Amino acid sequence: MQIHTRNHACAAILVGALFAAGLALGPDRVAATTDLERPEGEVILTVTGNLTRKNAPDGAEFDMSMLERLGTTTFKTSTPWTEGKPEFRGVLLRDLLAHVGAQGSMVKALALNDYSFDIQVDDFHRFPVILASEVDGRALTARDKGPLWIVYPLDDFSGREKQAIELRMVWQLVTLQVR
Amino acid sequence: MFSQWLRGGYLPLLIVILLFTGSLGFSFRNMLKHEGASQIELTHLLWAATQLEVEHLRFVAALDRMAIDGGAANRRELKRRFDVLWSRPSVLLEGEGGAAFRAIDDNEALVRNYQGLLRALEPEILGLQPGDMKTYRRIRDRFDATSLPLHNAVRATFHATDKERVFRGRDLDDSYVFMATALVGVVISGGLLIVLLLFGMRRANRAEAESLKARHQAEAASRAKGEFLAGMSHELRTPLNAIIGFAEVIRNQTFGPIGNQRYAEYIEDIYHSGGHLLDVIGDILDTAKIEAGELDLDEENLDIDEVLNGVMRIAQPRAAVGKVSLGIDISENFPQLRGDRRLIHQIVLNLVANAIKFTPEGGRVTVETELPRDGRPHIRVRDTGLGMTEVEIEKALSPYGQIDSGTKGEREGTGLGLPLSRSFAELHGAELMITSVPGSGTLVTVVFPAERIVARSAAA
Repeated sequence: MQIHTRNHACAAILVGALFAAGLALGPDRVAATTDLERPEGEVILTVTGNLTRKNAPDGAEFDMSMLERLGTTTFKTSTPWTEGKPEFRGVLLRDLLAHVGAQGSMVKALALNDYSFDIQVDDFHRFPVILASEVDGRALTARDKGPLWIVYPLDDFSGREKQAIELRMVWQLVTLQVR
Repeated sequence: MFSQWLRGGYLPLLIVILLFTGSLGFSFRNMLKHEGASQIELTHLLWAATQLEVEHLRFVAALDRMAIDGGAANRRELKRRFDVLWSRPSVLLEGEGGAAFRAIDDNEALVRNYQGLLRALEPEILGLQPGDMKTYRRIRDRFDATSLPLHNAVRATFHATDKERVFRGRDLDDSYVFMATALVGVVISGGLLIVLLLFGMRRANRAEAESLKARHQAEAASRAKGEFLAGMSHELRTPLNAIIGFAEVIRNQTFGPIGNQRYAEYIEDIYHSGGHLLDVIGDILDTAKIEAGELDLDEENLDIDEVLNGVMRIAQPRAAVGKVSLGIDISENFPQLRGDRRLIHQIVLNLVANAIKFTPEGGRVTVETELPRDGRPHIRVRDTGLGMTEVEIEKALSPYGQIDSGTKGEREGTGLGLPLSRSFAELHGAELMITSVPGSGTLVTVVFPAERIVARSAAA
């Protein structure tokens, strides 16, 4: 009887040790980054670079519902490409970058037509810059500056600063590279 | 000083400066307006136009690959390129640059046609099967046909934006030239203003220096005059006092009788003439002093009735000679006055002497004092004599004019008496006024300021 119990104890300790070893020696991403949920619908945005939360080899992929779940912000502003003062709705870029634990000072925004522009991450903290997916209640599509458009509250700026901001409002956004 | 400025012709210069500065500010503001939006707008327009052409070419390449190779990846790429191409025309036609783009040649028609083409061919493009050469060729031909027009539209946009850039550049150049001119204008007129001001200041300084010199000279002259008068006074009075003094001694027969009656008469004459000469000299010197502004008051508190009684004592003999009666009427409440005893005595004596001179036998001369309710003490000399006309009054008051003939028909005195009396009065701040009715009499009034009254102490 005594030997039997001791064997069970040894087995338990062995299994435990193996499990711990397995944990320790497992694939890197499991130990270094936490998992992000994976997109179910069409991937409309990829964030790459130095992130602490990923769901793909090179970064984090998002579908529309994942972005919506991060919570959205709305504001009205006029732009050189729209008429009047439409209402833009989308997730705040600072929220998105926080969600993926982005570590970097610069973000390269890449668009469908291969247009790209470098934006200081600082902008997203100073201003309520959003990834607009809806304008005046209408969902943006690739045929019309969508599905995602980086929108600043442009009416809050003037002069040369405004001109600089206009260049950062990248539409038909595909990728954000964090550096 | 400012109104002098304006009159001095600085005003036109000031206006010129303001005009230049105003136009400088105006053209600067204009220039800023131009600088601001213009260049960026044109660049964006050109970029959007070239992007349409680029996406057209990329789409056509994707179409080719789909037709030849097929596959899911190529289909996805074809859809993607088509979507992007679809999005380009609206960027050109709408928004802020839209109006400028539509204004160039027939860009608008061309781009709208292109949009029509995309809409019409959409189902066939998205549904294209690899190897379906017929459909592919048809689609490809349609797109090829638009290639050159599209390219021309882009070129037209480039030329138009460039021309606009040249226009705005020229406008800007003009602005610069205008600004430079205005600036030069401001600097020159500003400089002119400063120069004129400096000259004006120099002139003012020189004028001031000269007036200072003139003032010093005048003061020196005045001092010389004063010293002369003092000297003269001494030179004239000293021998005269000797004459009068010795004549008096002889007259009084202090050292023994004269002996000869004729000599006694002569010495009487000498004595009186000496006295008279002393009076005349006194008048002349007083007049000269007053004109030089050198006569100062020797002030003391005076009992006017004392002064008047003194005058009466002297005047009495003359009145007796002229058979004119003298009277004095002093009011009870007449106060002590602060003034120069000699001068006030002289005023009243002059007035009384004149009154006696110009009053015929049997007439009356009265001296009155009064303190009316307005608080200004009055001293009056009233006579029932010949009176004077306005013209005569004026002449009498002027220093160098005399009225002919007293009742004796002679010219007595220097004619300085009345003007001197007025001057003496004025030195006390008093006024001397003459009213007269020819044929019935004259009234001379001296009105002293209330300040000359010596306040009665409680003890008195």
